[in-house]
Amino acid sequence: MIKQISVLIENVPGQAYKPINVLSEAGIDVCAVSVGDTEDFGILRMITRDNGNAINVLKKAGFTVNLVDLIGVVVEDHPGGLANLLTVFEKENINIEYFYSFIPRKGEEAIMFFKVEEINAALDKLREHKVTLAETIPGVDKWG
Amino acid sequence: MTNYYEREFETLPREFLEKLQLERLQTLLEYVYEKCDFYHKKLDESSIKPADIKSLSDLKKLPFTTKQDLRDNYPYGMFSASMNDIVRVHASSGTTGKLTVAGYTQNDIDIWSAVMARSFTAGGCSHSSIINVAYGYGLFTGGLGAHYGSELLGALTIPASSGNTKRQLQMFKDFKVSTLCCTPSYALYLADEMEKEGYKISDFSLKQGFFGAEPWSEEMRTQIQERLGIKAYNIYGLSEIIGPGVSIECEHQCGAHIWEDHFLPEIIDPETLEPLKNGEQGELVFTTISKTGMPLIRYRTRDLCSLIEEPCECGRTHIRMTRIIGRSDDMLIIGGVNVFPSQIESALFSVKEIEPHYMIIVDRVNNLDKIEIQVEIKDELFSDEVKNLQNLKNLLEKNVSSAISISAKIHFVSRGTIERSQGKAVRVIDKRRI
Repeated sequence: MIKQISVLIENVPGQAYKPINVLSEAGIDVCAVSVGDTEDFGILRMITRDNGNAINVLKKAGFTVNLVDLIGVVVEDHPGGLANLLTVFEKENINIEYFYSFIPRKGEEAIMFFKVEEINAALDKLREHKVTLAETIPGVDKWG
Repeated sequence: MTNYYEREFETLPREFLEKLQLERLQTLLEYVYEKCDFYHKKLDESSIKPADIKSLSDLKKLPFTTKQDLRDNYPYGMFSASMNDIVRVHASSGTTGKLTVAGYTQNDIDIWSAVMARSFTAGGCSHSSIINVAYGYGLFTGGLGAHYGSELLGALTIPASSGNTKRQLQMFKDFKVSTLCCTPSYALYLADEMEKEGYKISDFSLKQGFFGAEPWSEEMRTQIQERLGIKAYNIYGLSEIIGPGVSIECEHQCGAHIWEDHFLPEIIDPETLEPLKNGEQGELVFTTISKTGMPLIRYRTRDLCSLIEEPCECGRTHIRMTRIIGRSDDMLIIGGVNVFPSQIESALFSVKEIEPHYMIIVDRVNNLDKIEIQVEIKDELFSDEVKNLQNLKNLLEKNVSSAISISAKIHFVSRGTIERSQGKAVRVIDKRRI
């Protein structure tokens, strides 16, 4: 499982910059980002190289923060890689809340992050299908 | 040339007016002492007998009545008349979700219609007027109060009620409406829509308007008068006392004449509760001296203003009140609806995800009042999923709107965004320039 930090932001200009800047000043590397938004608020979702520290500095800066588990799956970076994977989700009827990707370098294997309803059941099913799960992502050695 | 609806009462010399007031007050006290358990007990507790009130200056010996008394005796406990004689109720929203109820006998409806007819006449209306009542019809007193007064006057009465602005404008033009009754903010909204729809003032036959149910200013009057090409009169009232028509400005627009043969005004210091002199600013208090359904003794309106005793050029001898300049409690009047911050607070706190920090922001956008509530959410319950937060937002908006009867927009903000105050928490920012 991969840990993700979520931060509540208002949907006004400059709001995504603030938490990212807090992390930057603390020297924390953000490796993947995604945003979910409505017309007046947004949720900034991030995977960092130091989640424990990231949460501390964000809370100290006054942000509303939480930590959730995502499924990380290794996907080959070529046409059809993602489609093959999503077929499994479809077959097993795993409901995806949202997903996004992390591509370390061109040509290397990408990692997709999935937020699902029942993570443990979903992990079991993915294992049955011999999906390669990412327990960690390159360069991340500390977990929050 | 001033026109009156009931000249003898409206121009009654002060000496006779005060004699009439005392007679009516004494009769009323005997009546409520006998008929209303609440007042019987209240006068006994204050060791006052109706016969102790020998002059108008004895009024200050009587105990006050508050909105809380009305809530505690919900729904019918404040009525003096027997239930068979009550022909109507009106109600306004209260802090506890309970309505503040007012009961009327036929006598009260007749008085109300008459003071409204006097009020229309004071603003230049007559039986040849065409009066468009754009106050809401229903539990709110605005619509029906204006309606009955207009009919009694013999004017052509259009029960338009509020909303459907395009149709209202069409009626103004086609029905040759002369007179508009609505909230001042709606009048300005109508002016905006008029311009948008391409109407000119000359398309209409508007002459005057009667605006109230929310605080407004001289600047708003100037705007309404210029943009609608009418004279704009400030009309005041509250359902507990009777509804609109407690006081009205005459053609001189120099303070609103209180119909003193029915409603006895006082100004008190809201802290010490001591009566203040005419001209001094304080809380307006009314004793109804002719109503029979739910007469009230020294009812604290919470509205702040002062009384003007200098004679008015119109010849009416009834004292005038200034515009309401504020409230002695934290009640907000938003789009004509009474809203207490505590109502919003309890609606918010019924949802466990909410931090105890919130800010109510009231603003007037395109002349319509809007409420936005900024709330902070607890970390543990903050979700990374948009739909969860959206559901929470919808739930809060639903809870708040049903508590205050008008829609409010919820805006999530980060923890710490809302200023933590050292002393008394500031929970409301009113950006309306009234």
